[in-house]
Amino acid sequence: MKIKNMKDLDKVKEIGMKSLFPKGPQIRISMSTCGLALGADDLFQKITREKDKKGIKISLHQTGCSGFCNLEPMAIVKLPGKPALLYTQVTVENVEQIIRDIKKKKIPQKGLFCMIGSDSAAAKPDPVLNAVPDYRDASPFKGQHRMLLGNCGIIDPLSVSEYVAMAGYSGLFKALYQMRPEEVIKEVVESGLRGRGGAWFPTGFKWDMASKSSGDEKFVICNADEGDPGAYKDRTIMEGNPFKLFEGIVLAGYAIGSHHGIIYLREEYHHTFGFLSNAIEIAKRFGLLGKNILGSGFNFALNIVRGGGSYVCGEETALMDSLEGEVGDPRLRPPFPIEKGLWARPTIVNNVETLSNVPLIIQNGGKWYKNIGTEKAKGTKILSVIGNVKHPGLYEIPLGTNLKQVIFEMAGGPVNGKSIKAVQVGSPFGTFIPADKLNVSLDPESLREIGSMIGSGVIVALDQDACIVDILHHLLTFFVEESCGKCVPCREGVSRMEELMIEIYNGRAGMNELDIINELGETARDFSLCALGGGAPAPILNGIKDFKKDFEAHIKTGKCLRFS
Amino acid sequence: MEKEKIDHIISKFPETKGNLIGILHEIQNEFRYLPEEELRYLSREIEVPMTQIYSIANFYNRFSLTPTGEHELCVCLGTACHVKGGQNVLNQVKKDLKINEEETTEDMKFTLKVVRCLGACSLAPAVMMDDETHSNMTPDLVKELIKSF
Ligand SMILES: Cc1cc2nc3c(=O)[nH]c(=O)nc-3n(C[C@H](O)[C@H](O)[C@H](O)COP(=O)(O)O)c2cc1C
Ligand code: SF4
Ligand code: FES
Repeated sequence: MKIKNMKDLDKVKEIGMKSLFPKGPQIRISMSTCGLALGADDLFQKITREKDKKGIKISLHQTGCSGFCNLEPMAIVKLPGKPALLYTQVTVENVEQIIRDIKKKKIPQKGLFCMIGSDSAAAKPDPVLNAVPDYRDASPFKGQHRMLLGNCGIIDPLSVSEYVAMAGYSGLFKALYQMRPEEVIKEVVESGLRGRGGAWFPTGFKWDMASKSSGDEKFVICNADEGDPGAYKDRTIMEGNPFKLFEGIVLAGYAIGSHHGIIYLREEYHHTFGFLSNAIEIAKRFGLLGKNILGSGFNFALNIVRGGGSYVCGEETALMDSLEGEVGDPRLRPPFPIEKGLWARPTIVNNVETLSNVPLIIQNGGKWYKNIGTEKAKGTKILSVIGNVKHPGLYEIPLGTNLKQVIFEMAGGPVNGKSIKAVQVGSPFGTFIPADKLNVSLDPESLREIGSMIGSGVIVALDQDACIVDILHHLLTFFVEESCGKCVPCREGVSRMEELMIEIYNGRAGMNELDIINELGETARDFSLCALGGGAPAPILNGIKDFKKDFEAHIKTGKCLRFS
Repeated sequence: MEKEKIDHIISKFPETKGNLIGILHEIQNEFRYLPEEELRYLSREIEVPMTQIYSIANFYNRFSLTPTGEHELCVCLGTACHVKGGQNVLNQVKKDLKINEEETTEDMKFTLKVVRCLGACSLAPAVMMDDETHSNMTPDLVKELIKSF
């Protein structure tokens, strides 16, 4: 059905409420890339077979990923009159018991992790559940502010009605029926939203300029190239709540006067590609993309283009080259994309996470949004914490949260009684912060003060066994592989830095070579054409300065601390 | 040459110039590489010079100008996987398949690739066999995975 007015939207909402709060028992299985990697498919089939065999009616749904892949496969079990319960690491072997319990109206115990929405009206207190925490108090969800990820892993990502039941599309409806495009931009400016793709450019400002550029056609590009190694937040949003992203993209189109959007998707995301294509078709059927969106008369077409597996194509001007069927290398600016972007038309490029914030801003107002975060950085940020911590995963935190708290409390600190040696925030371009300096606020300004950055939010924790020379060598290899080769400081300089780092790694070079690396790094930092060559030196130069011991070990003995 | 296949792929794209990479994706999927004769035909049909097609085929990691194996095994060496021992997994694969990165086994069964993140970082180290991601890999597990094909 096409949603054409408020009445239709309410009807869809009602359907969504019924499916989220069903009368009978229900099971939801998390089935995105990570869940599938851990056997969610088999689990789903086993449950289907088992419930049919036992002849009980259980509604079975799929959900996306909540960001803690190591707890997958996850399942949510909802019994009548009870809060929804989250189970982790559910295996095929558990299924028979779960179905037996549900049949007896008992709460399955194995793998029970926490309650979701224990305060909802449908939930009566239950003695069996006394010891089970609500998900807001259960690590690793504790301390998070999941306004972007909140639906991920809970709603069926391909169900428009469930998203609408979670207030989805109320922002777009409001904008299309009650707001002029300038007013949408005004709210986004007021909110203080800044780009989450790494550069933190004010989103409202970009949109304002693009809306004022003249052109017969304008484009909205959603940057879903998600190239920073260690990042999978955009994938999680796309697979967990795609309609929220679509809503944000259409809002952007309405604001700047564009009728055509493109999602530029990372090549390696094979599963996501099919999934998103499907989601677009569904959105069209509901009148949420295509002609006459929500019955308002506004038209907006959206399609997906896959990248070719090149990191530099995440840079917005290289990305546009790639969309035009060219080799992706960064363009000189000006002209800026907002004037002459894709096919020389005014274009805005925004990250998946950035765009997903917009529906919330329009729904609740820029003033509301502004209350979250620090003075200069508003809202939340999804961090991808990887490396040597107990709970690697995605943590959505209000900007300004303390790094130490994230590493030691939320992510559970190091494993096996080891200690943390350093943390790289904003990987791959951020610097390695030594363990005694982790008491820092996570926002672009505070991190810049200590010479680091927040970037796209990848945080790498290293424990005492890690060696900085080893990890810097790893990063340099990445930069060299992904340099497009257009400018000399990056093409020659960074690859020379890598060669020297290998010599140092193998104990064949000394302090002289370190000096040369420093010089090359400074040149690349100051004279590269784009932020790849410009950003690559920071972790290297700072690493040399802050972790002398690791370098001395390599230079003197040719031995890596990592393997000693 | 398989002209019809190329015609069919071209016909899927309403507008060809901006979809060159998309077209090459489809050719790569169909043939498991980009065959020269077919590329020449494509070049004539969509009026894009061969040099441009070649430079794209060389620039993007996804494309291969030589035939690749029946299965594509991508070992992740992104930062999360590096920290958790992805290199050991790669070494095991190289030993078992007796090939290096970007190479194909003699029996044309496997092609080995190294990638820089599969988006499964909290399950590191990860590998992808064709379209399926496998997580928490160890040298032993990857050995078994290869055997199962
Ligand atoms: C080498 C390089 C790679 C980049 N990769 C990405 C990426 O994968 N995703 C992304 O959103 N932005 C990436 N960016 C940043 C984009 O150029 C651009 O700033 C961003 O997409 C703008 O959107 P935002 O304002 O919403 O962040 C990259 C930049 C550089 C220099
Ligand atoms: S800095 Fe590196 S990636 Fe950027 S344009 Fe120059 S060579 Fe290309
Ligand atoms: S770094 Fe290997 S999956 Fe992300």
